[in-house]
Amino acid sequence: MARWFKGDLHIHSTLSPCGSLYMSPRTIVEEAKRKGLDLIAVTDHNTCDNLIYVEKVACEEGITLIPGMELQTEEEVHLLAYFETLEGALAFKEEIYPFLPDVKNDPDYFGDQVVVDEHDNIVGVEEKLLVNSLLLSLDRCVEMVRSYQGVSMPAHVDREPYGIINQLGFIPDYLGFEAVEISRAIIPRDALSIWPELGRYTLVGSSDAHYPEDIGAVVTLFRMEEPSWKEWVEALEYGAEGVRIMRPFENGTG
Amino acid sequence: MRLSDVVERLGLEVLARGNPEREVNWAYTSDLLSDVMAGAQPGDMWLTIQRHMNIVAVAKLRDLTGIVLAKGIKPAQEVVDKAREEGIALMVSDKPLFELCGELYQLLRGRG
Repeated sequence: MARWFKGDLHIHSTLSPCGSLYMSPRTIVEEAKRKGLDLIAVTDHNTCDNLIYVEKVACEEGITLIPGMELQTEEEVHLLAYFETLEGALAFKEEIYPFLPDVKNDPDYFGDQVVVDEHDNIVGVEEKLLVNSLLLSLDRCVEMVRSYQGVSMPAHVDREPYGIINQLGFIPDYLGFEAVEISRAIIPRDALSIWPELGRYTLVGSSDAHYPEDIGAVVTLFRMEEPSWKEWVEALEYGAEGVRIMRPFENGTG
Repeated sequence: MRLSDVVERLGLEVLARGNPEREVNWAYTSDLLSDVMAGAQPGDMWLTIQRHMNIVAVAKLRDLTGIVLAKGIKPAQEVVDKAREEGIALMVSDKPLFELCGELYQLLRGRG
């Protein structure tokens, strides 16, 4: 029988330079478990190498991982991309990596970009600066995600930096998004009163956590038979009947 | 100054003609479309390096005289087609945005 599952689908790890070094795969999953989350997505900037380890820990802890990443398009729009499998996400990452400009990260300024395994050991360092725009347009990114049977979703559409509305004035209809993410700085009612056109999309709220304590600061409830990719994609299509944003202090599980 | 004169004086390549007889009142420069929607005035020419499809809609919405893409930025064919369909002038220049702005400023101030 369908019930509501709690998800936080926008979390940064140690691989994002802006993400805290405490955000190891293990810490993320354990914190998510402590907060009672059923499904999570770790979405680093333009890459996803930590997902290999997040998935291992998530599997041990009984949490569903939706493999994803946060793309930065040439228009400086942040676009969340989700995939059914880890392999799919990794293959997609390989395809976009050449489109990331060859600029070296300065860890002192931007922060470290490290791959951390399931035992909290640093096993890799990403040298290219990840918080940069891909040399790919938004339209092309959406198309590429679709070609991997993935789901793309504009991130934090209410925010000025890197939000699609600020960058492009409005959300182009023809891109055919099913859902858009609003940041934890705004509640759905306020977002809809400022941008009524958001009413045509399923609204998803995620924490965009860069520190462990922020995981689950806002969660989205998805009505599903089980926390799986297929059920999640269907829930997005049902809109408000399948998806509800909830602040943890509210009791809205119904 | 008419759009056709600006095109000639700045040596712009025209991808979509728009209305060449239209008067260019002034100009606006920004790559953030929300900022253009809020700040550009009707009759302004718009100089930018933003080439997303939405530029056509924003130019139409603000009733701008045309869009100039600087730095040799080439739009996708769909953007050119849309500009033609909507009657929006779309031009490109190889010059960097800063130089283009300087030249257009001189022209519109009558010191070209």
